[in-house]
Amino acid sequence: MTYHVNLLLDEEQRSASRVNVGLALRMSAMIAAAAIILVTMTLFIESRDVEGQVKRSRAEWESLKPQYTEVLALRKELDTLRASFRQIETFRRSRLAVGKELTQLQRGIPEEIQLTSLHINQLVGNQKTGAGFVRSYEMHLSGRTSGESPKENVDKLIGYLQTSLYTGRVEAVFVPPNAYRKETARTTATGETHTDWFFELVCRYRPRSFE
Amino acid sequence: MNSLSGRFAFARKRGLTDVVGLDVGGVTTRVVRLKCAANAVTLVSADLFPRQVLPAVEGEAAVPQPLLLPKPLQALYAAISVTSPQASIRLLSVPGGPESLEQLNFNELLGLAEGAEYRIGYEVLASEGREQNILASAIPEKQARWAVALLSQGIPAARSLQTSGTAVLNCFSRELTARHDDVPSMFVHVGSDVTDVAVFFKGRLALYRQCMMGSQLIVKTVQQRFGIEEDIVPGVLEDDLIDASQPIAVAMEPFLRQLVLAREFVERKRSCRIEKILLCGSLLGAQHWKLHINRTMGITPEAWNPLATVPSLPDALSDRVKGMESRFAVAVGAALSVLEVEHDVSR
Repeated sequence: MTYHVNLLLDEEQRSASRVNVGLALRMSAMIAAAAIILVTMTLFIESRDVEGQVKRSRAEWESLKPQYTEVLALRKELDTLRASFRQIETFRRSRLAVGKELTQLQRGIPEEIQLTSLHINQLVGNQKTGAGFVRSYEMHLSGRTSGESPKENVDKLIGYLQTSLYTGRVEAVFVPPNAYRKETARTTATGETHTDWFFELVCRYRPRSFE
Repeated sequence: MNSLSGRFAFARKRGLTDVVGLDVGGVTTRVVRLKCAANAVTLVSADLFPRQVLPAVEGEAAVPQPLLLPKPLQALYAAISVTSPQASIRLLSVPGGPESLEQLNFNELLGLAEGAEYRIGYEVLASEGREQNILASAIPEKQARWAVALLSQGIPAARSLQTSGTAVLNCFSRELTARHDDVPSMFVHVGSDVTDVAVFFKGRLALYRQCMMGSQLIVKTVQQRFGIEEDIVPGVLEDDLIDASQPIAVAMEPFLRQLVLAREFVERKRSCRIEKILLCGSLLGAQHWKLHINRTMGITPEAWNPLATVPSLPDALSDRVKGMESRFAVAVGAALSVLEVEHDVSR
């Protein structure tokens, strides 16, 4: 049991601590406010710096962009050239079985037609699809025909060329302008007069295979 | 209470384990330091200091010099008790519930002088049915402010302010429980101008009386009767060369009558018999006090040492204190009240 009639007023009570709680709280509040201001200012300054850096980087990029585009184009060109070189190298190492082709051709020539020349050109061109280079051939044929229906003989040859598989994919077979013409009539030993027709043909095709 | 201290009031409710008890306003200033550890209270230090002159109620407001305590007496908190002839203490039985306390006119109940500003407080000791037993006390506002101003800086900080009459009850109570098995007992604390009388029944305060006489009245009586200097009076009272018992008996008569009335009141009301009378305080001419009390009450009073109520450290008492131990009941009681209040809160 205690007998304690305390006459001390609330406002007379104080902490024995050497640290004043009120002062400490006020100091803490001030320090916190100062810290917040400092952090805010730091963040603001940093954001300004970052903004400046972004601007500088953007300007630098703008100045470098043409060079970059040029580099890209050069790289693309380089890739194309490398591909070309690879193909050329391939071309150089590959051979077409011309003998077989000529044999096949011989079999399909109508008897009324006499070939006078045959010339094959190799065409190397860039494919439109961009898949690389393609190689096609152009065969120039010239010959002579006679008989009752020389035009039909030429058409037969054209048809053979178009349908025969030995040449692979035939792109076009045509008679160049003014390349189908009548030759001067000649008289044979038996005294008969013959009229020969001279023609030229161009056949563009891709060979079936290389060796 | 300002808002800031209010918010941190919870922090102050934590138990105090180290307290300085001060008894100011008397002939000397008595200071004790008590520590509480594991529910055991220990006396760390006790000392006497020069008198702090209590300001007069009618005079100008006085601002005292801050009380600087030596290191052994420096605790964080202090319980101040003020010994003042103008203080008023009453043990009251008030009809009605707790709500009736708000309606009481304490100025009237405490018999306070008209026109003077007092600081009044009370504590409910027991609530029996529709009756409240309260201990009420008051001291002049000027003296209360003066006492608080003694500890206005640094440590210790005031935690409690009491009248000496209420503070000393805690020392009585502890002594009774610790050494006298709570037998019905009467405690007499003799002050220089005021003497406190408390009767305990079954360990609880059953009666309190404030008698407006003290050791100074005895001194003055002997001085006047024999025409001697005041300095010589203590010697006269202590030896048997001059028989001063007759004038002292006359001077003490009103006080002795109070004792008789107090005993009769308690014995009749509580149906008990007071078995012990314990005496402490400014016992100048202790044998006269004992003699006259014995003659009147039929019980030989025991002079007891309040500092022995609690165990003390080896060098707790200064040389000044030796022989003056009985004067520390108020200081010890003030410190105990704060320590024990905190103990109660923690429970």
